[in-house]
Amino acid sequence: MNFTRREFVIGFAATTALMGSGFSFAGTNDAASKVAIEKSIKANFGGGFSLISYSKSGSVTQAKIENFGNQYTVTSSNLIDWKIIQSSLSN
Amino acid sequence: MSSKIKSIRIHPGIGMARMGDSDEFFIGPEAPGVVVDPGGNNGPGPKGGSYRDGKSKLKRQAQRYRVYAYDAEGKVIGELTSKSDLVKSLRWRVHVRNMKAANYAFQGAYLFDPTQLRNPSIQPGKKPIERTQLIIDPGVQTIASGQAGPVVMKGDIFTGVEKGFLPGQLRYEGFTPKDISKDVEVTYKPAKGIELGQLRLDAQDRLLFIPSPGKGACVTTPKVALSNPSEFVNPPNGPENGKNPLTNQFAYFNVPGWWDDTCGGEIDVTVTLKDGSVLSTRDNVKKAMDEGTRNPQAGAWIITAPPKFSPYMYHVVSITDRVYEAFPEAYPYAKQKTNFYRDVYPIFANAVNYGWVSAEASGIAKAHRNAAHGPRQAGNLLSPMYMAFFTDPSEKSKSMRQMVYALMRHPAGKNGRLVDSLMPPPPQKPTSWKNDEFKRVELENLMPLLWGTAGKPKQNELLGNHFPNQFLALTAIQLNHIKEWADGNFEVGVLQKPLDLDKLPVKDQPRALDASALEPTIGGGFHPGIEFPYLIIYREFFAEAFRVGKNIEPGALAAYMSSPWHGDFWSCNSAWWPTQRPDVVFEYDQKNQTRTYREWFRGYDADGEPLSDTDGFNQMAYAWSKLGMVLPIKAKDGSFVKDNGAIVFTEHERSPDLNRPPAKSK
Repeated sequence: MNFTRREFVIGFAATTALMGSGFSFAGTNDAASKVAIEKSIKANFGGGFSLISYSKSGSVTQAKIENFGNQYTVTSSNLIDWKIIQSSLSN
Repeated sequence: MSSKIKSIRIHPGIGMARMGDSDEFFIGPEAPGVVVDPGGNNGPGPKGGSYRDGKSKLKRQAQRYRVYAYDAEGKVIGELTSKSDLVKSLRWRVHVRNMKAANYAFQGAYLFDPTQLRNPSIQPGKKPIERTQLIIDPGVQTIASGQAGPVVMKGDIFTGVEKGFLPGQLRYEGFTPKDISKDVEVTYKPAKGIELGQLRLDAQDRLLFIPSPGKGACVTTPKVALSNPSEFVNPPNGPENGKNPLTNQFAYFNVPGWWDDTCGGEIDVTVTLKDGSVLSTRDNVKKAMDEGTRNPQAGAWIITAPPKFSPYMYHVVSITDRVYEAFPEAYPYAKQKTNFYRDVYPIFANAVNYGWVSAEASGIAKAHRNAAHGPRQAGNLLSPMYMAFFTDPSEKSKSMRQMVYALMRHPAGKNGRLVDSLMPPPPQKPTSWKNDEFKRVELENLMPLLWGTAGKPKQNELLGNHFPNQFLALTAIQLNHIKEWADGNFEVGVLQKPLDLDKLPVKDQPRALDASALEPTIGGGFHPGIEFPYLIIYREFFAEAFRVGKNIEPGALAAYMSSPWHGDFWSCNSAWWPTQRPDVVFEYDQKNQTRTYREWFRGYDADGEPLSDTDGFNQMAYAWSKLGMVLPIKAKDGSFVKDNGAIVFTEHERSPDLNRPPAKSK
């Protein structure tokens, strides 16, 4: 048994990415892109946030993410810094 | 005046210093309610100071100790410093230790078992204090007037340990056992020169205890990674039916081969007056250099702990509250009528503040949406609407007050004291919780909604544990004030602005120092605690309120904390103690009065991987000092921005190192 939690979860995440969650992928580049976006989202918002969908326009990535049933629409031009442009929170 | 002095005492009686990875430090609170400025410029601190140094490293929070002279009746005469007319010199004596690796394994307070030790193969069969290879002990250190300092207190651990066997189910760095059912042979390399803290003197020769840099490491090859093996091997409670504290659900409190640099221990002082007379907090001291013996009523204690990342927020039950629970005769307002702003309002304000650091209390979690403490939530007790009711002692508002009281959770048992369910004290196995008076259903719909000393209810349900006190409850003193208020037996009072120590009458300063050192702390749930372990609830371990007992060895109380602390600091990421270690943090749009949140524990680790529960136990050892502070937003006039009566808190001074993957992993 492999106890490297990170390897275990990365493998799980890759499988999830390929299966998609309401999002289809044409090839391995798209899958790799989604993994990179998910990783960046988790680093920026926290590991409990998940990627629902995303789209790209030039260098800008727009994504819909979710946590505790709350949804944000977020954008990034470098896949490191993200800005929340829409939130479902009502406070 | 010297003839009037019959004794001296150090205050605070129990001090609290908080670690940081910077070499810079600031002095912690010395008066109740006062949030101290961390020094420096252009920062978010109360006076514009910064919690980080020029290299973005987190400053340490030191504890200052002061000497007060008392007369024959026990009345305070005044503080003695090197600037006092009477005083020739002061000589401080400090003995701290880290005994965590030598102590009993932590398996929850209710499951304490004195037959289970940490690092069980090293010096087996001995009491913790006898397991000298596992104790970091710098010995007695002194610092005296005229000594430049600092005195750095260092010690070694795992000395003379060469080889051993550890469970194959543990997670090892760079090594995966072929057969996890077999033990793994490891080699040990002693860790030497571990700094537990530094002693310095201020300009008046008061003692400054500066804590350690917060390091921790594993000495074995292969290295044991911080993890919880029971999540992977025979969940939920690990192999061997959960009998082994190195691999069961409590494994991350007892990681073998690891050390950290926290400590606890005793502080004493001997004061030589200009007339040649000598006063000491130790007994049998005739000359300044005499060793003497410990007098627990006069000497003090130090505990070092992780940083408090939300310095303006206070937990609803602090260690100060626990001290008064154990020593009700020391509670200063025992015979006074309940005063809303002094006795009740702070509890409500503390609860509302959780709405900026907790997923549950903020209302972002689905189960608590619109029923929590966020500014627009039903539980914002500081909203003008509620406050109008709460400050009205008339019958008209009684039903509202009664409704609030009815929501309060009480500790299990007829006396309403946590300690009663955990007798006898360690190192004996507690059995009293099995008594009928503690049998009850633990209700989730009462307040506070924070986990208790028995641990998370869902975890207990999974494991078949039927413990009392699975949720935190207020103390009987706190509950009595709320009841008096609910019944209408109260005066409203006024919200007092906290006063600095030098603004308080001399007679009030010792108590202010005692209370303020422990006020910004966690007084439960103790699993095992984050600054001071659950042993604070036992009167038996103390000489009196705020004074650790005579027969307590330096390091013996702190030894009950997680070893190392980092894994527990990560693990307590939901409804434990978000005022010290936020669970979530918010951004706030002042114009639209809206907010969004992120997890507090986020960013990239040293390998460029996101911080997350995938590897949180291990990642916290890297990330803790880089995480953000949660502080009020200030308006242009310096006041705190409020939303519907609640102070708005946002994240500040997060180290930029977390926001980018390290260069090597790009």
